[in-house]
Amino acid sequence: MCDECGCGNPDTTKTAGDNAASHHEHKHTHDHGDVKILELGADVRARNDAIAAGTRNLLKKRGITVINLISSPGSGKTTLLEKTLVALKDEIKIAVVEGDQQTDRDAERIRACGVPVVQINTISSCHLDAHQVAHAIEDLPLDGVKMLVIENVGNLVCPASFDLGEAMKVVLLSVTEGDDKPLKYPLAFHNAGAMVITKTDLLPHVDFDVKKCRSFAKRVNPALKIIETSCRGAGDLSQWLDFVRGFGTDK
Amino acid sequence: MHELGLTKELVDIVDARAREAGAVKIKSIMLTIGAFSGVEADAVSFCFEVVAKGTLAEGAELVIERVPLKVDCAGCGRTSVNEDNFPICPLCGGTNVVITSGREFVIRSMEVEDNV
Repeated sequence: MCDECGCGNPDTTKTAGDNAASHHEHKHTHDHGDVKILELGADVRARNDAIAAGTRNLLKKRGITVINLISSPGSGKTTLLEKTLVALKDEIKIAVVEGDQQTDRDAERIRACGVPVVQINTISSCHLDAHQVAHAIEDLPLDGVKMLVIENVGNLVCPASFDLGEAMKVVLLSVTEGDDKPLKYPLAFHNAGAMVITKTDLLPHVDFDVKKCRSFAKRVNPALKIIETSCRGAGDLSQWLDFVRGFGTDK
Repeated sequence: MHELGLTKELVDIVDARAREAGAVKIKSIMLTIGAFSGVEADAVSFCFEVVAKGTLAEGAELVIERVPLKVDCAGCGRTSVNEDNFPICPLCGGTNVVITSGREFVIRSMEVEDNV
């Protein structure tokens, strides 16, 4: 029994309104009782992290490795994913969890690539949490699947703080966003294992300095793997596909 | 604003623990929030008033201790606080560091009132 969403309720949104709805009048005793200190030492993220650890463990046992894609909206997560699924369809069986505030438009795009996909709509929430993902996986046919890709809600801030059970967070940064994003949003780049610079075909048209961006990213995360991609026209996904291949078979 | 969900979790934890202990009201909650936790203390305070309504934590005071980002540097071997909040050694500029504090979002303790 799940005490967070009430299992079976498709709306996984958690809002202050839920709490306000259960508001009730306290019967205050105005003769105050004893005051005491309770020691807790409780990490507020412990439950999320425990659920994430459960997901990681469950999928590892099934031989499935998990990537959590994070980025600001419009950096090209879904497009990169579509191209990847098509390119690797005969090599690695991949399943996808799609996160968006609303609509199943991205899930439809992924479904069209012929892979199992489940869409989570967070409604008011700005990120996926481990609890939502754990439930979403229950709806995915995982037989033969070797890799699960979670496409997080487009947001470079909030998703950085939540473990979903992934082996690695991969952060995307498109060249139209600016080369200094790793310094402005250090947590996202620090917590990621790899950064994908997307839309490199647009470099002749924008003031994005790839060398500077790489240097900024290495400052907040020296171990970060950096990959450049372009999905337009002939595109260039070779570095990325090699990375995914290695990830899908090594882990 | 991911602090809304996290604050709801915080209230769930303290409310449950206070009830277990037979308390009737939570007077204050002592939190530690790290500068590199991705959790904004002001946002937690803002959400808390709304989220705590109807729980034992309603009206409780939030006492927030902010902890800076502290790093152990493999390059120069020193431990120091990075006031700029980057995971970099502020003394030698080294990036090969281990974060020793600054990621916390912890409920340390709370002051509760028992039944008369």
